[in-house]
Amino acid sequence: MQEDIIFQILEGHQDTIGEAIYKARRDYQIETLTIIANYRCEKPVFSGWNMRYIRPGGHTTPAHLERIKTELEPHLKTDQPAATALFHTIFTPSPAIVTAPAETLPAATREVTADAVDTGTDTERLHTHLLSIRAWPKASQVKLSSQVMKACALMSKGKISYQELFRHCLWRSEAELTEFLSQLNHIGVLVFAPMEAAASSSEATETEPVQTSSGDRFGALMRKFLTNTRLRVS
Amino acid sequence: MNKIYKKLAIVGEVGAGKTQLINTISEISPFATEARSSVDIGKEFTTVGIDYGRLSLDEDTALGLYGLPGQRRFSLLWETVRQGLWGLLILVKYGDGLNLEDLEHILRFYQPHSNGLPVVVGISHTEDATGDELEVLVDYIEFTLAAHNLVAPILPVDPRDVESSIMLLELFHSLDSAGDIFQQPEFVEVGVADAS
Ligand SMILES: Nc1nc2c(ncn2[C@@H]2O[C@H](COP(=O)(O)OP(=O)(O)OP(=O)(O)O)[C@@H](O)[C@H]2O)c(=O)[nH]1
Ligand SMILES: [Mg+2]
Repeated sequence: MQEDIIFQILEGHQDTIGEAIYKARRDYQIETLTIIANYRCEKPVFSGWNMRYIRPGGHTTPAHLERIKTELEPHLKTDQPAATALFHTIFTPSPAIVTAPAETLPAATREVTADAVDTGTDTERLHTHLLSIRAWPKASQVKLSSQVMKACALMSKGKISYQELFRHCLWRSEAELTEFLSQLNHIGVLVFAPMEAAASSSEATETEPVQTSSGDRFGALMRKFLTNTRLRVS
Repeated sequence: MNKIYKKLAIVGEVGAGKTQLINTISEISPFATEARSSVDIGKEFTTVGIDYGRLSLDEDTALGLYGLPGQRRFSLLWETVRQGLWGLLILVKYGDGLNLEDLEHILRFYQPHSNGLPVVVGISHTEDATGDELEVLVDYIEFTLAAHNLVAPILPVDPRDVESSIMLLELFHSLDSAGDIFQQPEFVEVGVADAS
């Protein structure tokens, strides 16, 4: 696309990708390696796509470029100006690129796009499912407030309902919790599990007093220490 | 009142910031005069390199901070800090290349998942790291942990900075509390969700 720039989309298990990138970083033939987007998806988005050489003035297929652009744009690392700049360098069609008749995209990719857009019901799902996380959000994605730490700690240990999360983590408002969970969902770490039998037992706890770990002395003293120190430091 | 003494194991390679972190936390201890005293860990260990400090929460309650070298040949030292653990902090020094074998050994030794031991991975010396380089390292550590059924926070830390050090303690506190909550029978524990 641009002289000396190779653009690659890797899909697969995170360990395979991690390993590939780890190696690429140590490859002396690669001068700089910029990751412009990194996110999880349930199904392969670009399955059926092969290696393709697109060059200025050649018989490019803007439909393909458009498709990649549309897919990646929401996931751009907006906190990194270099990544965004590179993205636009690659995907702003230069006059040199000759427009060729648009090829139709493989059917499979269109299906996935439709799925990906289908996020409208997620707020509902938060209430009808037990929640857990498959990884902690990165520090660059979500600010680790004490509510966020508590919620992630709980969701990393087990499956928990929205109500329990709200109770245990001292969110200031439901809106705040909902927004946080949507954010987790957006970055692909939130896992939904059907309520099943657990639903009835969690209802039963609704009437019981909230049991937090401050029941034990060490936890309570640590809590106090952290609160006092944070006040002192900031 | 009974004395409560818990331990935080801080494992990391040479120069990762173990001593620095222990100093930073010991210095903000509300009972600072007591820091670095009372618990006898044996002279032979200090000479071969266990760092020790403590955070006293009141007269009878303290968190012992143990800095342990990360290389496998020191696993005899890890052994001495195995009981009464409140958490395991793995410090990775950015820029040295991650020694995955050491990380594997540490995880295999402490078995955090089966022991319900809270784990946090802190990456130090990240001032000059670019965001995406850091992200790749985080991803790499993330799937190493996943192989051990662990979903743990992996974050940049600066052991010289009080706020950053406090953040680590707060993470452990959250994980510890979450563990207590999940001991209630109605909760279901999960391993790492299968990515496939
Ligand atoms: N710039 C920078 N310096 C750091 C950071 N963390 C630690 N240091 C410094 O790095 C040096 C080494 O840190 P130590 O705490 O002595 O490292 P250690 O893990 O105890 O190392 P060993 O005892 O040799 O195993 C000290 O001067 C620290 O202040 C960091 O995140 N950034
Ligand atoms: Mg040291």
